[in-house]
Amino acid sequence: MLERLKEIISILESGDVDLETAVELYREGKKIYEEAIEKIEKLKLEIKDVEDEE
Amino acid sequence: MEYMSISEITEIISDRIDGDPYLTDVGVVGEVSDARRRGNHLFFNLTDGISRLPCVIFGWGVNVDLEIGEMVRVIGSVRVYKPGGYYSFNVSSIERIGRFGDRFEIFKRTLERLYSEGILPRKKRELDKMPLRIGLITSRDSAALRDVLGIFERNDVRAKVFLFHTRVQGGEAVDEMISAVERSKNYDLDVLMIVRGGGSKDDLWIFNDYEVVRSIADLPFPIVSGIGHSIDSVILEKAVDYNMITPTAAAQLVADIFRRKREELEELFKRIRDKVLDKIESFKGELEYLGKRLESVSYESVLRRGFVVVERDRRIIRSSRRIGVKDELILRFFDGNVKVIVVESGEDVGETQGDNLDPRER
Repeated sequence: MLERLKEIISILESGDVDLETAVELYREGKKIYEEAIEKIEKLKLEIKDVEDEE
Repeated sequence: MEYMSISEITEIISDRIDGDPYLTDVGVVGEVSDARRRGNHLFFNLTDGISRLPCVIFGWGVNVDLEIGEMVRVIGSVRVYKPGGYYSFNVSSIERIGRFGDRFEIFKRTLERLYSEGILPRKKRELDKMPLRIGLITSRDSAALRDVLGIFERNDVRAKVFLFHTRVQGGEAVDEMISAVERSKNYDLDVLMIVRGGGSKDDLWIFNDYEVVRSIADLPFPIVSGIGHSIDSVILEKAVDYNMITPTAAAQLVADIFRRKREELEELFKRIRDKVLDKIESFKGELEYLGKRLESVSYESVLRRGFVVVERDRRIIRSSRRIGVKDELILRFFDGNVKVIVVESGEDVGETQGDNLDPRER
């Protein structure tokens, strides 16, 4: 998740990006971000005793 | 309430301790845990694995060489050092009584073996992602487990914690612990924690076991240890990536990383958004500039400058040679059109002023 966002920033900071590509990268970054936040929000602290599972 | 000064209360403490018969000319036995020389004085700590006693040999300390781990018997008195606000054991005599059983030798040999076999030092692994799947090796009945989970709850750590139960002391626990470590390899963990509470040297000896340390050093994910509250180090500490002094500290480290990664996610997205907004603003600026340039060469702006489009039969006439006398023309100005009939055409038309010209044009 974070790695791809860092890559996107690196591409945008390189300056060799036209507007259309920049907007596409933004959309991709937004999607990654929203999915990550949604995933984190759905999580809760859960304890699994491995012996019970096996 | 009457308030004392620091010196006053220190004086009271000093009076109580200095000269107390139970703390004067007494014998103490312990293991040397560190030693340093200052001039002719030797400062060192004695420990029994649970508590620590700061000691000093004034003056004749220059003649004493102590090794970490060796057992000594000392005779002396407890004294308060008022400027520093602490007490120390002023040693009047010292007797070296050898190592801590055979264990110090075993400790040294185990360490040497692990280094010579390349198992140590372990290649450090950084916990550089959000810990969502956390392995935890400890006893399910331990206070250490409660401490760790308490920290996770307080810090809103939203993760799945896989508990690999094992006894954490005693010779019988070695196989259990190795089994727990091996089982953890079957789980795709972001980090593994190994924790237990404080204890004596005997209690913590499992973490000096060669097989235990070797199995842990072999793990493919970052490892955080929280073996507390030990004063002495254990070999396991050299095989982990983050060595914290207590289970609570170990849990707090993981919780802090969880929180930092979440903040990093927010920050990264914000940077992307800002970069793209800058790009859009820059593009808008460029567009406006081009628009203005286009405006200056547009059809309408040309007409405003006094030019006229000439049409005949809905077709633009670009050359005067295509116009004949009596032709009906439409002249398109910027603000409207005019229909005219040609009365004269040719290169010289309009070059001299004459009576034919409309007086309004003079």
